[in-house]
Amino acid sequence: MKKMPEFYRRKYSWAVTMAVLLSISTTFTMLDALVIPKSYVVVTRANSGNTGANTESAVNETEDGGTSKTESTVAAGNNEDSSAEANSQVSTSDSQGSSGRTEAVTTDYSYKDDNISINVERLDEDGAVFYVADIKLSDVGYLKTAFANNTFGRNITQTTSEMAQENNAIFAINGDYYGFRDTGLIIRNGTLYRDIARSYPDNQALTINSKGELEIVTEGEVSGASLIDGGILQSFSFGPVLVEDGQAVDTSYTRVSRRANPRTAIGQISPLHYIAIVVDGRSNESSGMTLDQLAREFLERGATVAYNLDGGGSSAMWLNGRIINNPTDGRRDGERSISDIIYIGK
Amino acid sequence: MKLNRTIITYIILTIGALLFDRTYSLFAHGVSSPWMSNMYLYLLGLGVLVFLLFKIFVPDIVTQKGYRLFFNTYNSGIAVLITGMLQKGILDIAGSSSQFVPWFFYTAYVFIAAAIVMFFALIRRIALKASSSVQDKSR
Repeated sequence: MKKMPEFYRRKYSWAVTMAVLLSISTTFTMLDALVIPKSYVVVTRANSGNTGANTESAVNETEDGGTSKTESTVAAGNNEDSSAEANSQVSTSDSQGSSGRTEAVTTDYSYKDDNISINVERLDEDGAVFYVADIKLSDVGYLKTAFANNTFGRNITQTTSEMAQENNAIFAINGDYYGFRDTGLIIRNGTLYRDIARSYPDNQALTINSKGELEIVTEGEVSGASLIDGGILQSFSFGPVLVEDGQAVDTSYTRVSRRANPRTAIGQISPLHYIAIVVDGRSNESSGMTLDQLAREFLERGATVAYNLDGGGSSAMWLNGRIINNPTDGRRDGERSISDIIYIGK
Repeated sequence: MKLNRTIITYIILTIGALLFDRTYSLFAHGVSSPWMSNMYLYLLGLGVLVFLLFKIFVPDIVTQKGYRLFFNTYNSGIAVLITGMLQKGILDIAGSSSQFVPWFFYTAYVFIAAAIVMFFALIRRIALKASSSVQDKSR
């Protein structure tokens, strides 16, 4: 014990020890936060046949790789296999919907069957190339979400197109990249995965209820359990809120970049009628959009609610079997691997 | 001389922190973090200013037994604090977070609190020496 203070008083030995300890702890912290994948819950989906119910089971994983607890919730909607395929020309495909046999008509920028109508418009305004998807559904059950590798966890990633393919998505956009953080309200397909409120001012989450309505909630003011009891099927924890009650929201408070950037956002016009916008940016073709510009685009289309999702290199839109925008983070072209998607599927 | 060298080192670190923040912000696509932006202020205040005050008011502190212990503890506190701020800033800008970063701050507070206690012990020792030397002269 007497030797320790002696060592501590030496000129360089303590400095060197501190430098080594700080280097090791910093490396560990950064790897843990940004690189090391951690699986918390494995999601399994069971087709419940004629009941038209989409059953999602969440199996919590223990650290030793075993399973400890199983939760199961039932989300409204049907769970039939989609047969939408990539197609560069107008084509038709059969799919088995909840109301019987339907025929899907697809083009490069649209999809239509008896239950789902998606029309994507590519626009180039004020130096920003962006894609506006007008989505009409007959049931909120067609609006779904998926995790990378069907696993809720940290740093578990796949590209939007990989997740869309695995889930037979007709249309998909990137989600909120929840797996890059430890905080935020995460409810997906009717299951509560995380209920840790983010700190003010960026603590407003978007929820989707069983009627398909988009609503804004403040994390920490309502519990995840009460939201589930109230019929919330999905929640997204990013922001900021762009439009609420048909009015543009002041976004000057947010820590999210307000400069022109690639963006992804979702909004609602009326019951089961949604708008998703993906903006390209950080390229010669498109500079991106500011949050205020993005809010204006939603307001022009009559959105009553709109919410900003993860953007930058994550921004991607998938339709009929392919990515239709040009994702880039400004250094490397192509899709970024992310943790979740919002998709339209059967 | 010792204090001069410490002050100059902290001035260099302050400028380095400022330059790092400005350079990092060029590649951050408009996202900034007050944790990273304010790093230089902590180095300026806790480093340059504190040792400048030592130089002005208690230059004899460096000759006291126990100064090395205080010096190591205090500088370790600042090093851990700045490392925590740097990590928090990088993760904030990336839109990420870590449960481990707060531990850097807790550790830094413990080091700095211990250093403050040592500082007052050193000041007390200087004051006692000064008063005893005044008494010796008066005899």
